[in-house]
Amino acid sequence: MGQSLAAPAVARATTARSAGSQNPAPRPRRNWAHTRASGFALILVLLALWEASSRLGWVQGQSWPPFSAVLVAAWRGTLGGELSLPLLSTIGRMLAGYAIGCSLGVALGLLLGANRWIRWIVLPVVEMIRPIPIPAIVPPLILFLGIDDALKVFVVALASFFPALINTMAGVLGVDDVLLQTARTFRVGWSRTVLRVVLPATLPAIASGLRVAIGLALVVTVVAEMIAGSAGIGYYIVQMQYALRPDAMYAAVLCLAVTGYVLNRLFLIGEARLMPWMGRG
Amino acid sequence: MLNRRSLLQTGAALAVAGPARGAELERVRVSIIPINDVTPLFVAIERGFFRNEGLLVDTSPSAGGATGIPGLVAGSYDIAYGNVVSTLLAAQQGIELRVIAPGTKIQEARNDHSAIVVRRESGIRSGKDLEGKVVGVNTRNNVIWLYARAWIKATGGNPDRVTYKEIPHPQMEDAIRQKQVDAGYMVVPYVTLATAKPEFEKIAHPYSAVQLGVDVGQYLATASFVQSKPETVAKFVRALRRGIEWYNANLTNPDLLPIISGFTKIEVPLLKTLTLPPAPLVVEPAQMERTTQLMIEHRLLRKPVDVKALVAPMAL
Amino acid sequence: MSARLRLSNVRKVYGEGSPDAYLAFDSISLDVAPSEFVAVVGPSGCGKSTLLRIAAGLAPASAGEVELDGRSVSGPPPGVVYLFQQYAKSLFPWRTVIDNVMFPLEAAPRSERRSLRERCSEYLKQVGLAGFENKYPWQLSGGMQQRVAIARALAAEPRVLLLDEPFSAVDALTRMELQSLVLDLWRENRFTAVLVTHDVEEAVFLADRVAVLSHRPTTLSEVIEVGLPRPRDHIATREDKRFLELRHHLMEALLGRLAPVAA
Ligand SMILES: Nc1ncnc2c1ncn2[C@@H]1O[C@H](COP(=O)(O)OP(=O)(O)OP(=O)(O)O)[C@@H](O)[C@H]1O
Ligand SMILES: [Mg+2]
Repeated sequence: MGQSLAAPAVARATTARSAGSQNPAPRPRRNWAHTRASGFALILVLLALWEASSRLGWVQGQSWPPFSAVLVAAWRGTLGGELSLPLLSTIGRMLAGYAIGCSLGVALGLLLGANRWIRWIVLPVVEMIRPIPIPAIVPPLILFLGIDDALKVFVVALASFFPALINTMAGVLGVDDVLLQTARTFRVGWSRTVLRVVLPATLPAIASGLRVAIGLALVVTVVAEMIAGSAGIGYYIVQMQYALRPDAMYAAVLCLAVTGYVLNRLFLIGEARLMPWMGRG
Repeated sequence: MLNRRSLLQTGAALAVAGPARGAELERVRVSIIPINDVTPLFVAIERGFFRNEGLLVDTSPSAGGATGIPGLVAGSYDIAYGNVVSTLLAAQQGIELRVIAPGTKIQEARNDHSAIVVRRESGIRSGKDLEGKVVGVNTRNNVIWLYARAWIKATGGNPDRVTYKEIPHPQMEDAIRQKQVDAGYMVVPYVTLATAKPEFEKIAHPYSAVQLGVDVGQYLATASFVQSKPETVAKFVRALRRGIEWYNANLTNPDLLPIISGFTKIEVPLLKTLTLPPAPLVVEPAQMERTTQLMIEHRLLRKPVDVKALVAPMAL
Repeated sequence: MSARLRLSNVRKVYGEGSPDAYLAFDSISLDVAPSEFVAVVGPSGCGKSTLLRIAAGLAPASAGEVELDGRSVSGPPPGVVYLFQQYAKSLFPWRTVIDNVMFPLEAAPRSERRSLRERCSEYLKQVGLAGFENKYPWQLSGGMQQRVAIARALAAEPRVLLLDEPFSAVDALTRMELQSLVLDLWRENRFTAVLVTHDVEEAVFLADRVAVLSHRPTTLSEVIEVGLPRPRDHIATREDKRFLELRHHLMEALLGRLAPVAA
């Protein structure tokens, strides 16, 4: 009898709810498109100002080419490989360092989150090293790592390591006790709890750490390339600066901006794929 | 870029059949600064002089130029092109370096193209006029800074009453125009471009004014490399000297321009406007001694450096 | 008949030994027979959740003993499942509905997975969630989320189901639906149920017996036999004279001698 009372009510509740949840859905979408459009409009206005400031001589200087010249240089450089090859090599180095730094950061973050003693010992060291700016450590590092890929990969790994570590640790510490208790009441063992509960519960935090890291990784790779060695887009930027080819220099900067944007987008897409439950909110 | 260079090298190797052809070439890694100073090195590469000695020279440009000596010490490079002040500073710090070959030298005043540039209407003429003003240099505590100070002192100014602001060479022109600095010590090709415009004016050539004959830059190796591979070093210096001779004999040869453009990435039409200075065949320790004295005078060095020990015999 | 779940003189002190030690409750003894439905009512903060967690082996008692089928409980024993008050937090947001229900069964060998999955679908059907297998918890309403949590508890095939205010966070209508659902499941699956609530009507409507916890210092003040006929119905049962009497009595017990609100 209770069942018969419940069943139609469920059906009613369900239809009412799905209808209710579909109504507000298009609104954020429209808002999203709206902010997108005005964002692009703002960029277009800024670019138009850039073009005018150079063409009309508002900004005088041999290192201030019109934006159209930058676009042409970007087009040529991409097709000819002069720009695209260094960019690819930069991305390669970045991904290598990023992968190493993030793996170590996540692993250590899990450990620090899980064990109070390790946290007490390791955290002060981490907090001491973390604020050191990367450009400051590149020259002394050259003595140990040379000037080529090892140096850059190391520096990028170092830069990626900290956000991965800190976010992972915070994620582990923030796992809700109710989830752990749920695993306990179903008599799930320690290792399965770590694997099946703690790790997935920490994933969103890890992901946000990895996303911070990917932005940093690109910047740090380029900075390291600008300081040392003769490879990658960072070196290309400096080289074009010294060769008095500001159009090519800004073209490289433009490519970097696009790369950063694309990386972030790809990351978000991957995140949505891997963590569909993150779609709420 | 690396591909392009090795392509050029292969091309040169095919064009110039040398005795070492087909044999295993010894690889030498050289750190360079992509400026005209190292053109003879690239001439020697392009014309196969290194290949004839059995060497394969692999160049790594370092645009800032700050990583040459650290790279040498780390073993990333075998040889590095560096300026005399950096070399002397490193020597003072106890880094065992050897000057193995000449690079750049201001032999005659008319070949000294680097200059202190001001806005024409600024009225600045001498070091005295620069007191209380701001001078742009690429790097503080280095060669440009040193000779700027020395010139200011030589023309009646107190170099300590001048502010030195670090501006990268390519941005110096804009910095002077926008009055971020009152004067800028500019080098080729930037100085040539700037002073072609009526608003700018050269007021001095500090190198030749302070120390005609100054050895500005040289090729370096670590003492241990020179000791362990004397043959390699000797071959390198021999081939480089042939490059210098060819360069000096072909200063106005249009064939030079694509070579320079190849490693500086400066476009050929711009290079055509430059006058190329001849390169030295030997290093003069006496000139390096004078630089040492200047460095002591301007508190870059605490005590003299043993220049005689620093310069390897094959550089003389 | 011997007790399925027995609490003997259970006492809980938080922060024992420290200066701000806090006595949650003391000397609580209660026997629950197999397949019996017992409700525990008490004012907010009197220690209901704490008591239930101790019964589930999720928290240690400071003194006294918990026995399941005559065996002393020191950790979560097999066959006892605790249904959390905060169901929204106890579901795994990264798992679909069906995978949440599968959670207690995943230690089983791979070969059995298929049939277990079918069994989980069956439980989902029982709680009225057929067709929602592949949704995520956040795509469901609060009441539906609690149904998932119930289905997951059922999947563990408990001998004892401990329910901690399972309906306190849903609206009144949904609450009644869920109450009927739990009664149906209880009747079909024959588990022993201990349900903690501060809702007197809920306790009377569901339970065979109602245990009343007092205000602080908390202890068990009385245990009342309900004796209403089953199956129970939201309209008929709630109008039963016996229902109203019990409600009256329990309200008085819980509210104490509070003065009526002045007009
Ligand atoms: N971990 C803890 N440490 C210290 N005190 C606690 C802890 N957990 C609960 N308490 C205290 O014990 C008392 C009983 O808490 P409990 O959660 O069991 O009450 P409850 O009856 O379930 O309340 P509610 O009806 O609000 O759910 C409360 O006063 C609470 O403050
Ligand atoms: Mg509670």
